[in-house]
Amino acid sequence: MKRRPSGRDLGLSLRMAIALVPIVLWYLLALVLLVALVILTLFGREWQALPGAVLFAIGGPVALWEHVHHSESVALTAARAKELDDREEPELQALVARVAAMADLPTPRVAVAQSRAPNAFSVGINERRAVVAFTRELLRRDLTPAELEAIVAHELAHVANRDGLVMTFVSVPALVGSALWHGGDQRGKIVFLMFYWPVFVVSLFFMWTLSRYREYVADRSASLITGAPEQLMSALQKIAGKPAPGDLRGGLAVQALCIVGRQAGWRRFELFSDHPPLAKRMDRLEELSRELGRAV
Amino acid sequence: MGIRDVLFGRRRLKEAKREALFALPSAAVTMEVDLGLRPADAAAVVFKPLSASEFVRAENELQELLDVAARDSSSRIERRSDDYGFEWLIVRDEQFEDLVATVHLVASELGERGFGPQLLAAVFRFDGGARPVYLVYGYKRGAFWPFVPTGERERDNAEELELKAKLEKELPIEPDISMWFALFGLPL
Repeated sequence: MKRRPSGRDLGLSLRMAIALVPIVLWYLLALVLLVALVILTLFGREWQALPGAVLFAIGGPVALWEHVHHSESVALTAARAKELDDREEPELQALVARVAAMADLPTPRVAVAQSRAPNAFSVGINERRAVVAFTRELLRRDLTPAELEAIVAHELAHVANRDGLVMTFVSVPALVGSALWHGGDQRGKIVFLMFYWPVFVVSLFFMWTLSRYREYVADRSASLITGAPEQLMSALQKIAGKPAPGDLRGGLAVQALCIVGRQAGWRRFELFSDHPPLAKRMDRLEELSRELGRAV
Repeated sequence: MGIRDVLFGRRRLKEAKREALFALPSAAVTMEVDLGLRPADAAAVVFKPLSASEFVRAENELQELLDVAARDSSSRIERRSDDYGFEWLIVRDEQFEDLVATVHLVASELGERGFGPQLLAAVFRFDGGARPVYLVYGYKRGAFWPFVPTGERERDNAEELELKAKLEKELPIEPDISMWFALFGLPL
């Protein structure tokens, strides 16, 4: 008997493509604005402003690149995560290594974060630099090895899909907005209030939408790696079913790569959340397990 | 993987590459002549079984597979599971060529039955040195790498690299050392 679990979900891919359009438009617009800035100063013969304009046009993208490259250490520090050396948590590291081998990924580094919320996340813009972090509280919960494996597989699916890179890029429009507002410059606040706030709102909305879609994708990939969607279901139930006492604050993009989202206050509404509601994830996993040819 | 796969998160488990296994018998001669390492009469196929809910069907298929393999070859096959939830099909045969052929047969049968993406590795043991040396064939990579465990969590990297240098001409060796994953506590 043939099993052909498919790695794709056409409807989801389509919706992701649509959600990506405004983000790509933002980048194009930003590029056009930067080029226009340089050209206008050239044609306006405002020579004294030219170095500044060129610096800005080159400095912007460079700063963005720097941001992408440092996002992982920033994220780990923000989450108070410490990388493990070879001697610490040998079972966990061996488990991560096995799942990585199944997923055909190099073994990522493993970190443990001090947090009172049971959670896990991954950072890193590519598979070589990936770090998978687990909160101390998650390791303290009595998860079975198969459930922990499902969580590891979910995080490695984020790594395999390059979600760290994608979400970092997707978070930039919103990040520029918060930099304008919190930048400490009066002009930044004015620009934000006059022009940027609609962009900020829209980009936040699409960032969360994409993040939710990628959670579904990671759940699906994780189930294909372990062959056991029901283990991920029971793990999610155990760690997300109960309200978590604390929260895990990282950068915008880190938050998106946790296994469960924060569900406090207005984030209870799906549209404002970077994670899909538990019930919907469960439904999808159930569907997937039927697709894999068995009943849960 | 292309940019579209990145954007849509579509990376999948790789299908197993099974072909390169047959380079092994001639490499075994080199190992014996140059290094004094003889193949042991046991090898194993490691795979990740599917979840418990389809245990019964998988179980029937595995039994069927073992029967096929036992009928078509002179090798004996036994099953073990390890602490990580992987299944080991251990093949025993005094003739190394037959051992390799049976390992290939077992992997092919697993592939036929839809376990292809679940195949992790084939492992061959060699004796005659200070400690057992293993050649791991990774089905995801379609390449070999050496594995020399020296303790519960340690491996002898120097000896592994020496083996790589010696065998590179005859076997497809995984070029990326970060993919040489370990199989500590292997039942072989």
